[in-house]
Amino acid sequence: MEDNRLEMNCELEEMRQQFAIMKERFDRQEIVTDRLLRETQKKRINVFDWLNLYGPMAVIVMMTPLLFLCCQHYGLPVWVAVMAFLMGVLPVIWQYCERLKYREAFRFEGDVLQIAGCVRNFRRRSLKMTIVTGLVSVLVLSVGYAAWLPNVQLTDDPFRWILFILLFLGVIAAVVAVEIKSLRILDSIVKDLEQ
Amino acid sequence: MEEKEKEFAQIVREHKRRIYTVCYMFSKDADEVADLFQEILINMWKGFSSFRSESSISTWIWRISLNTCINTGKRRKLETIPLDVNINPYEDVDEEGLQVRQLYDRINRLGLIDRSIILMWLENLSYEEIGEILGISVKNVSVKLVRIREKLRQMSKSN
Repeated sequence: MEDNRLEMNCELEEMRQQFAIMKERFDRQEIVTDRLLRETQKKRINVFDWLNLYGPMAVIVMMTPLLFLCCQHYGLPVWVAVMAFLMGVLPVIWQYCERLKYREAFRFEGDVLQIAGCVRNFRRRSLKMTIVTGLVSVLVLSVGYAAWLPNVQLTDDPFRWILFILLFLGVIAAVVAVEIKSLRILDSIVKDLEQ
Repeated sequence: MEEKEKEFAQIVREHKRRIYTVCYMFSKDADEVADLFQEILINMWKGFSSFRSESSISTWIWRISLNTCINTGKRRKLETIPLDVNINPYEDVDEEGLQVRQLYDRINRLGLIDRSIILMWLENLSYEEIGEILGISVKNVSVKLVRIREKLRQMSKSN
């Protein structure tokens, strides 16, 4: 073919033949059902996107009164609850704004390389945001814990003490695990982009 | 069914094999193919009303299919509607099936962009069309294809 003019070696020749077989094989299949088309046109599957985006925010908002009650009950400074709330809500709002900014790219109608660049940039920025939020959260929790510590009497309730230490260590471990995972993903994205 | 919905259904049916091929080459199993296929249809439907024939419908479909396959992270939907296929191109062991599988193995070892280029080349798209879909020059397409050919040769040697 004049417009498809790559000099062929035996691998490409063989691939052309295999592709012809595959085309014929797939052509014999019905593939698309009426139900699939109906569901697509209803866009019902988008519920998952909403859950993904706003699920964490809903959980955080619902947890806030509980957090304030805990602060009052156990003598934790209230600003710890405020900061925890902000640390939960801000990344979600930020992600929403970013999605608006990259709205065109997420329609997937543009040039493949341009869209791939935009989506990777979005993911890279989201991961950086996660890392920063995680680190700030650990800092806030540590300072809050340190501020609260002198108010607790070990003799009052040793089980409460143990529970709080375990909870604190658990939070730190979870944040560190998420950070390590995020950094690994970030590395793979950067490698992918460089490639 | 409304006129617009009918038109969409017709376009999808005309290009179903092409979309299915892209999904197959970018997936690991039949479930993932069904997921991606559905995702592509949703993206097509979202953009269908604003499609203004600035590019051909085939170019538009290639772009949405490749962009969806390259950029959609792996995730399960609440409900995946099964496709109407009576083959499993990942497991079929008849003569044709093995040929298809060998093609898959070769293409799947390439990077995402190389995979897209070789797929379009195998579909007999011109260098101009490939360049238009990817957003690169004709010369760049030509260079990339020569590199892909070398990669495929190296893969064959190492086997």
